[in-house]
Amino acid sequence: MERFEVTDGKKKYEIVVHDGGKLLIDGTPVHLSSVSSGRLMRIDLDGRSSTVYIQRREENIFQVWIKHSVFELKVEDERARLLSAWSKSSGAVHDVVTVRAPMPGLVLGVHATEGQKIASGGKLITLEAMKMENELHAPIAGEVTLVKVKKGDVVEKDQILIRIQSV
Amino acid sequence: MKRTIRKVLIANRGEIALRIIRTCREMGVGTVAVFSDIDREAMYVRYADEACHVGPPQASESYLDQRKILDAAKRSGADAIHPGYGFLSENAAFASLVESEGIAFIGPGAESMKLLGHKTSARRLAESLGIPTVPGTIEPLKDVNEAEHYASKVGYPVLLKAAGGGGGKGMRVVRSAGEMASSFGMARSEATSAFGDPNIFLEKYVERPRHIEVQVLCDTHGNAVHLGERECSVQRRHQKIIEESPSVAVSEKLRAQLVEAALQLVHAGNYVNAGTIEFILDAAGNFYFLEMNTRLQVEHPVTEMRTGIDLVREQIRIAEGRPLSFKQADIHFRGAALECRIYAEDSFNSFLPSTGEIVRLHAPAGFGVREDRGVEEGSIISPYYDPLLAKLVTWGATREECLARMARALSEYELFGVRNNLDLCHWIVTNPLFARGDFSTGFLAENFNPEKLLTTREHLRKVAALSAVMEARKNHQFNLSIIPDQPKSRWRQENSESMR
Repeated sequence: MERFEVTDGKKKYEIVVHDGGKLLIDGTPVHLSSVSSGRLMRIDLDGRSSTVYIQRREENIFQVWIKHSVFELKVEDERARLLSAWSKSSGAVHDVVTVRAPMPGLVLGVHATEGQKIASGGKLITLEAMKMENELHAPIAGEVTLVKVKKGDVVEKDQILIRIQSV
Repeated sequence: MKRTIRKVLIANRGEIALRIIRTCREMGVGTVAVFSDIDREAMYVRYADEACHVGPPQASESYLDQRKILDAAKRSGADAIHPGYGFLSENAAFASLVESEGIAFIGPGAESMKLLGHKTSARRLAESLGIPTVPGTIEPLKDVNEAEHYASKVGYPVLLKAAGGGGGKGMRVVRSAGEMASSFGMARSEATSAFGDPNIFLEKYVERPRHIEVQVLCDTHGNAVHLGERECSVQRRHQKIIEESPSVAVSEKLRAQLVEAALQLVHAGNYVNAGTIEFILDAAGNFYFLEMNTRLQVEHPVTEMRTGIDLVREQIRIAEGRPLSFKQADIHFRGAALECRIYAEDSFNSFLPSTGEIVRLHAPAGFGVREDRGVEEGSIISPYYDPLLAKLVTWGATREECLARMARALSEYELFGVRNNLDLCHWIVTNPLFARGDFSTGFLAENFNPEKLLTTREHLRKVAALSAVMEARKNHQFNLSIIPDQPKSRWRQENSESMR
C-alpha cells in the first residue's frame, strides 16, 4: 500500500493505492483509468472523462492542466512527509521571501538596495512586459538581503529578483 | 481615384493577419505576409501567398519599422498595404509615406487620421459640433503641477490618458492628489515607450461607465453608413475582454443619437474607410464622445456576425475608390453577437501575461460559432507582442441564445500549456448580472473573485490530484509498490492498471 498527500494550495487530499490496485481518495474508493496520448493523458474518473496535461515543475511539484483550470500540486509520499516534518521540528524555518519574476520582461527600474529596510507593500521593481509597466511590491516587511537584477536586465519567468528577510 | 488592388501586403501578425488574408483570398486578391524572426512558422505566414522577413522579434525593428514594411511591399510588388490594428495602423506618417510611393493604404487618409485619431483634436472637433465630451483638458499637460491643478478643478477621481494611445496603455485612474505624482510619471513613461509620444491629458473619471462604440464605413464619394453599436464594457486593465451587439443599455432613442453623432463627426473630418467612434455612457444614460479609432477594430467580427457584411472586403473596395455597394436602409441587423477575447494571461493572478508553448488546442465549432485565431498546437507564445490568442464569437437569434451558445462553445475549448482566460470568459457569460445586462466597466473589479471560482471545481481537483500521483509514481524518487499484472485493455480497466 502506498499513501500520498496531495495539496493544491487550498485543499489536501489523501490518496491511497492498495497493492491490489484499489484506489481511495479521502477514504472513498474511486474508479479510474487512463490512456496516454503523446504529452497528454485521457483520464476517466467514475465515468467522467477529461484530457489532462501534466508538467513536473520540481521534484514533487506538478502542474496539471484540465478543462480551463491549472492546478499546482504538491505530492508527498510517506518519506517526503517525514522529511518535511523533521525540517520543521528542527527549527530550520526562516522568514525569507524570494521575489521572482512573475513573467518574462525588461527591468525598467530597481527601487530597493541591499541592506535597505522595506515596509510590506514597498516598491521593489518596475518590470515591463508586453508594453505594460508592472510594479512589484514587497510581500513582507523586512530587510532586503539580495538584489539580483539591475535596470535594463531582461529576466525570465521565475527568475530570482530580490530576497527579503523579515526582521 | 479609382484603382484595382491585386496584391495586399498585411503589415501585421497573428489572428488579424490571417483574418485579412482570408477575405483577400475570397476576393481573388494576392497576399503578402511579413514576419519577424520568431513568427517564421506562424499560421498567418503559411496562409499567405508570399511572405517577407522584416527583422528581429522586437516590434520596433520589425512590424513598426516603416521602411522595412514599405521595402517588403515594393519587393513583393504589392499594390496595397492593410495595417490591421495596432502597430502602424494609426500612424499618419506611415499612411502618407505609403501613398506617396503609389501604394494604397487600406485605411483613412493621413489628414483625417491625424484629425480624428488624435484624442485632443478629435475632442475639439466633437465639441465644435455640439457632441458632448467628458470635462477635461484640451491641451496636453505640461507637467505634474498642471495635472494637479486641473484635477482639483474637475474633481477627483480623474483619468490620465496618453494622447497617442489606446488599449489601456499609458492610462491611469488617479483617486487623490497624493497619487498624482507617481501616476503621472508612469503614464508618461508608458506613453513614451509604447507610442513615442509623451503627451498626456486629463479628464474627469466617470464612475460606473459603460463603453459603447459605433462602427462606420465611409467611401471616397462622401457616403457614410453606420453598422450599429457594440458594447465593450467588460474590461480588465482598461482593455476589453467581451464585446457584444446590440448593447442592452442602448434604447432606440439613444442609438439614434449615438449614430447621428458618429456620422456627424466622420463627415466633418472627411473620414474615409472603416472607423469606430467610442462613447462612454454614465449611469444616468448621458453619453460622451471618448475617441475615434481610425482603423479596423479587434472586435469587428461582432458587427460582421450581426450584419452579414465583411468589413475587410468593404475596406478594400473603399481603398479602390469604389462607392459603397449598399445604403443605410440595406443594412439589416439580425439577432445578437458576442465576442470573447482569449488572452494569454492569468486571470487568477492580476491578469499578468503568460508565455509558453501551446501543448493542446481543441477549438469549438458548430452553428453560430466563429473563431479568429492566429495560433495552433505547438505555437510558442513569446513576451514580444500583444497577448491576444484568439477571438471566439457567437451569434444567436436573441442575446439569451447567444450567451448560451458562447457558454457551450467555451466549455468545448481546451488550451493547455499557456495560462489563459477561458475560465474567466465562461464565468462572465454565465454570470446572472451579466445576463441581466447589469454591468459597467467596473464589472470584474466589483464581482470577480478568483478564489471563489477555484474552490467550486471538486471533480476537476480530484482528477488533478490523482493525475499528479500517477505522474509522481513514474519517478524513482517514490517507492513503487508491486502491483499484479492486469489485462491490457485500454478503457475498461481496473483501478490498478491506470495507476501504474
